[in-house]
Amino acid sequence: MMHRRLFLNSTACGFGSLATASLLSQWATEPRVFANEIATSSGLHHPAKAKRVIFLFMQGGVSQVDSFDRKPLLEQRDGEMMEFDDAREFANKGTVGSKQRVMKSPWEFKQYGQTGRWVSDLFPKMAEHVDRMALIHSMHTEGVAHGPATLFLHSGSQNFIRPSMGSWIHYGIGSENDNLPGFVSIAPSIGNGGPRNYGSAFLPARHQGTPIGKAGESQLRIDYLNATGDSSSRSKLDQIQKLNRLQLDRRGNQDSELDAVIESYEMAWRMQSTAPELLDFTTESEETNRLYGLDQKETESYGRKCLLARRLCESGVRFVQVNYGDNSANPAWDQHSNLPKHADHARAVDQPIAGLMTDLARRGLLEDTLVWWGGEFGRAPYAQQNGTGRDHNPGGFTVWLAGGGIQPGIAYGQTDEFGHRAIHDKVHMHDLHATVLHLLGIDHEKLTFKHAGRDFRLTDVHGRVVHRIIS
Amino acid sequence: MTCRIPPKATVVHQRSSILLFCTVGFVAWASASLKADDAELDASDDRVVFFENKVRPLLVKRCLDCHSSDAEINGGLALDSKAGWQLGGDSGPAINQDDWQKSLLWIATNYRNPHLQMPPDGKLAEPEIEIIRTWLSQGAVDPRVATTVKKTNSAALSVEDSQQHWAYRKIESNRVTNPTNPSGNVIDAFLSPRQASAGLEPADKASMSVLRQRLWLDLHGLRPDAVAIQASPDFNQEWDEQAYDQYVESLLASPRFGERFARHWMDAVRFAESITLRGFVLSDAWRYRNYLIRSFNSDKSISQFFREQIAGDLMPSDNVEQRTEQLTATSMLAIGDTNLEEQDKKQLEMDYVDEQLDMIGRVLLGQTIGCARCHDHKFDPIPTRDYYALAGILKSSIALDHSNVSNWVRVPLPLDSQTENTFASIASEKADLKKQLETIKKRLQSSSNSSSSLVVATEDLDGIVVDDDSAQKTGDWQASSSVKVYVGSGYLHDHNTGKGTKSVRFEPKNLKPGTYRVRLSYSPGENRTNAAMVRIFSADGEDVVRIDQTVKPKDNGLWQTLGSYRFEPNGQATVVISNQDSTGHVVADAVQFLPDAANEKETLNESASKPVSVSKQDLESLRKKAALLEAELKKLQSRLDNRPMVISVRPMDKPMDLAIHVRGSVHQLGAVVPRGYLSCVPSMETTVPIGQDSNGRLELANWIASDENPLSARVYVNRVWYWLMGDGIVRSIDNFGTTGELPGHPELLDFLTLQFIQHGWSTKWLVREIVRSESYQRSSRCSSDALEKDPDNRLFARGCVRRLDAEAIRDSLLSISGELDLGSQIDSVIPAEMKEDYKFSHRARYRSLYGPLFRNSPLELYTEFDGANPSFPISKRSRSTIAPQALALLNSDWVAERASKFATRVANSNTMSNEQKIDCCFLSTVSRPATELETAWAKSLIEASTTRSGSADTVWCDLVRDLVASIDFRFIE
Repeated sequence: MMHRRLFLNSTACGFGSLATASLLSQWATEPRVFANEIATSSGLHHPAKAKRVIFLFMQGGVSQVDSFDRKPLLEQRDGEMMEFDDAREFANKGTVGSKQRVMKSPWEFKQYGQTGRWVSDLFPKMAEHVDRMALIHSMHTEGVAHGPATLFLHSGSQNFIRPSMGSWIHYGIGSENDNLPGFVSIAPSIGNGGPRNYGSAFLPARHQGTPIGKAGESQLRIDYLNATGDSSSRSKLDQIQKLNRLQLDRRGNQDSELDAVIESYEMAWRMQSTAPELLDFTTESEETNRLYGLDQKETESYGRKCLLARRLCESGVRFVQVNYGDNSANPAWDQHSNLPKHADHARAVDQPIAGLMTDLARRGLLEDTLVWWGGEFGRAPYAQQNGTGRDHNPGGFTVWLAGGGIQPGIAYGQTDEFGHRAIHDKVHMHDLHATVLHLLGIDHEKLTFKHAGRDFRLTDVHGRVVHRIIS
Repeated sequence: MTCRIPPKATVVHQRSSILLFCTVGFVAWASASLKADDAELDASDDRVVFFENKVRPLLVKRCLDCHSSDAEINGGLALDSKAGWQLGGDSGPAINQDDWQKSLLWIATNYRNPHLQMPPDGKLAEPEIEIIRTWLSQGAVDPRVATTVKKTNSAALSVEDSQQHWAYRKIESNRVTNPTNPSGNVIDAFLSPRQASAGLEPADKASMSVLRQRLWLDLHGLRPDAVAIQASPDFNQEWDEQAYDQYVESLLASPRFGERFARHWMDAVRFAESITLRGFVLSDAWRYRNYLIRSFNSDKSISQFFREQIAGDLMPSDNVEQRTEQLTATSMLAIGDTNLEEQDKKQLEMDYVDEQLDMIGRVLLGQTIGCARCHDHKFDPIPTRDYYALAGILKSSIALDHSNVSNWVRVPLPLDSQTENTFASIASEKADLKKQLETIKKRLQSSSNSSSSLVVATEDLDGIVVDDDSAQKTGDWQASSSVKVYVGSGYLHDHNTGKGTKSVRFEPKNLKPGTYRVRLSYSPGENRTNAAMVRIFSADGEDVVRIDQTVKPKDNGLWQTLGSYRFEPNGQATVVISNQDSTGHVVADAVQFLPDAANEKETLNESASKPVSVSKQDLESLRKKAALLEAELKKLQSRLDNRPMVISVRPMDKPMDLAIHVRGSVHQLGAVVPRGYLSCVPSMETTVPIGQDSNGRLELANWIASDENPLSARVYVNRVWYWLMGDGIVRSIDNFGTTGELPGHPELLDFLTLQFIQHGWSTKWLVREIVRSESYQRSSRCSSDALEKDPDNRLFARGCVRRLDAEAIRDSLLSISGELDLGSQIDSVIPAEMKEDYKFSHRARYRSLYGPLFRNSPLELYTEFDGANPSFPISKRSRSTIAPQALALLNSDWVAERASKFATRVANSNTMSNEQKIDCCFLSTVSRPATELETAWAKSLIEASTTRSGSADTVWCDLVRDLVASIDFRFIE
């Protein structure tokens, strides 16, 4: 039900003007027309290689040299005091070069798959999928502390309030399903930026991520969606709609956005009918439950989230973030003083992620779903303050991508011989953002939104697409 | 251009300076010959050959993708010609021919400065760097000639031409003429000619019922109270003009007016009472909120209002009240959503200033000043110089005290002399007691010295104690028990060897979340280090304490307090002792985590279990006395903590001018700019240059609040117009620059602004002017012809449909349920002791603006119904109509409870008939009785619902909930 005025607005001001944005229901699919240009008939800038994204967020920072970035030199030089450029020291004092004690990985590395990639004993199950992955060893990012780096990962900015990448993507290409939110964050943490990490900032509110569940709670639910509420009964809804129509008629001919109110109740009804089913796993087979680790206490929690991610993808949700984290200031993977604790976290995610990969592949979803695994930064190859943990390391770390448009079985970029700083084919977080958008058919330089007098982008004035990892 | 060379790089440079010395003669020769004439270069010159064979291919391969006129010129630097690198980019020339090692090209390719590393995707290989070295050290011979001239951005309006843009022009009173005024109201007189010429028939006057709802929402932010509607004598009657005016006056005189307008202003100044990251609670922010309410209720001059918020702390005052008011106003500068844990503190400070400047620019001046941080404004006449001239003013006040997580600045509020004296006497009493306590402690310590041959068992100690044998050791540590006192079976020492390689990690088991006093025990001695490094990892990050182990631990010769720390569930809780940077033996014995609440008890009980078990009577009484003193001190401290404080900034002793930050980087500084104002605003008689020693903020405040400033008053008048009329005369409320919209009625805006200034910048005057106009009172119903001719209602020929914002919905629901507490004096609604805002459950029944307004825990319905994001200056809230709103109204327990409370009252009424009850429900929710059709609808609902549930409460609750979900509750005509 589009009012004529809305139509005028949407053509005159172009896509994304607040006026159009607000009046259509939040999760509707719309014809996508970019403000600047239409490159293809699909409304995308170029043909997409992936339709949707699953981002497996390892909050706190997984250590690359203990997982995917094997560095034999750490073993050889273990215990030696050497000079490193510590990121925290630099940010605080502007000094480079401080004595640090090299610390080898407590885990063994083995070779996996046809490609023979090295993966540590932390992730033996995930390792079975190395032939599908593109490992990016040369990641680097901004922010030494969790808050800034986490916000940077999500929004491309450490200190300013900017839209989350999921919001940008939803703003750019919308959703494939009318009845569901297009951008979902499963069990997000309230710390380190909390809602800002899935917020739409200055983009219209309907591009906001919808949280399902919360970090630290087992229940996976959407606010205000419940089977017993007033929206569950069609006859009750009809009653409200009848009253709304009476009032609308009484107002006569008005310049109003009130048709949209009636439509929003219909949409609410459709969501109420669809979403509970999605959150109900009873239709899944025993075998699938085992695949995701739902039968094991350690893996059950993250397994359920991964399984939900698959179900959301099947239903056409555009961007699903599956968080592994908690609400503390030192979240999950943040092992400053006790590196061995990495093993607990690895156990909790290894089977579920491996299961998700298997499941996506056998259902054919992996072909057009981009899977991204990684944290906000990595960890240092030396012992923090001489202890048994590792400090943050934004200068070099590993993430992996798999699925839609990704060259399988490759390793891209390098860190130095200690695994500390990215040195070859460096990929900045802005570059990764640009690449993810590119795979979805979006040119990161053209996806803009005017705010406070200028055009904003996810990648600010940076970002280069890493073409060499694209198939 | 200054470029910080890291210390380690200096070492490299020293080494290579020998090399430089050897080649000095050559370099001098080379540059001399180059300066003579580049064109004389012979193609057979070795250096030209070297360039062609080595340098050119390298530049093509690794640099020119981003630095050439053919492709991109990133950072303004082109490396495709000699002229390109000589001219250089934003940071200056790329090559320094006089001292090649200082060349930016050299620094960048060497990767020694983390802020300047090129190429960005990885350091050049060693042979490639060698090529650069050879090329630069031989004088950077480059035969290439520029083919294209660097283009500069010319889209911007220059400062010289700024008067071409309407907003920078002064309002000339002689240019604005008062139109002939047939209808009696100036606003209508300005608006009607344009409507007539567009062939628009203005809409009829809205009904009194609608106008009442409009005025209530616009001036109070509420739906009209049902009781008030019924009680009012004009109920259902037409008002005359006089009655209307009186009604407006009564609404303006109510304290609800200040609350409504303060709420608008709070959007603009991104008011909140916590910070997103870590959820820190800004416990004093409420004072600023109440300042805003007071200011609007007392109709404070907006000029004064602006001045106080920018520089109230620097303004003279006559008395304590005035000083308090002015100081409180400056919270505006300091309540932004800051990232306090940013580790690069220089960056943090500039980002903080940027946030302030962005807010001041958009809210007070309608200018997007933030755009000029990295480069001259692309469209408006705001050069980067102006940005840093203004930034210098803000930077000259301290807004943050730095530590791992920086702190915002709290300033004590002035007190009347009596209270001031009371606090002074508490402070001096505290000092006295502290002295006494120290004396007693000294005596206790000396007596414990005499009993130093003790060994303490861990189980005798309070809190959680981690002894050395359950700690994790790194490196070689020697167990010993030769020097007492110690905990458990002994202690460890580092042999005084392997400095920097050994550490002991103490990690408590089952530590419950909370705040603990953390204490360290060690056996002291002359051969010990005087600086053992102890690191404490807690929820607030990492702390480092140095302990002198040559002296006895202060607490009873056994424990040395490291500090109080907060620990979170599953968060880090570790104490690490290392022998880094120490001379002498480092001793590690035990660490104790004492719950904060237990401190008092612990102190009292200390005698029972502590090392000094010498049971001398006097010692015992000394201890008791010490405990009492400590308890008393704590009480005094908590009384001192009651001293009112306010969030503000602290002017620096020495104000500073800032250097231009090249491309916005705090690590690349350009020319220093004197503090000053926007140069596109023509100079005013009242403008005062900012003196060298003057902070500058007061001058800035006066500049902004001046009658002559063409921006401030216009922006404010347009803002109020938008609040009342549904859209601005300039629709880009916070952008009066060239990228903003032009005013639809420039003469009207200027006329109103002039009048507003003449009326002493009075908000209430302006509100009266607007709401008394026919334009304000027009119905939102109109012909399809009118809709077609002016779909956006730019000519204001009809009224606009108003929607209840999140606060109005919540407040009205509370009012319907009879729970709304209007209070008389509402101060802080935040529970005392609250430190972070996560998962806060809102229980207060005050109006929504009293919150507490937490960035991580918004009020009910706030997010769904387009509440302003409190991290941004918001001038226009978005207007969305989305499914989550429907779901919230249908399914929220909170909404259901409010409806049910009201419905129960209705259901239980013995005096009302069903028709009367239906009317009562309509009156309370949609502020009018039910229409005939609606009554029929309600009756059928009641019938259906009665069959379904039977209970009267449920039946009426169903009706109320439907009404709350209906269009007429959420939208006012």
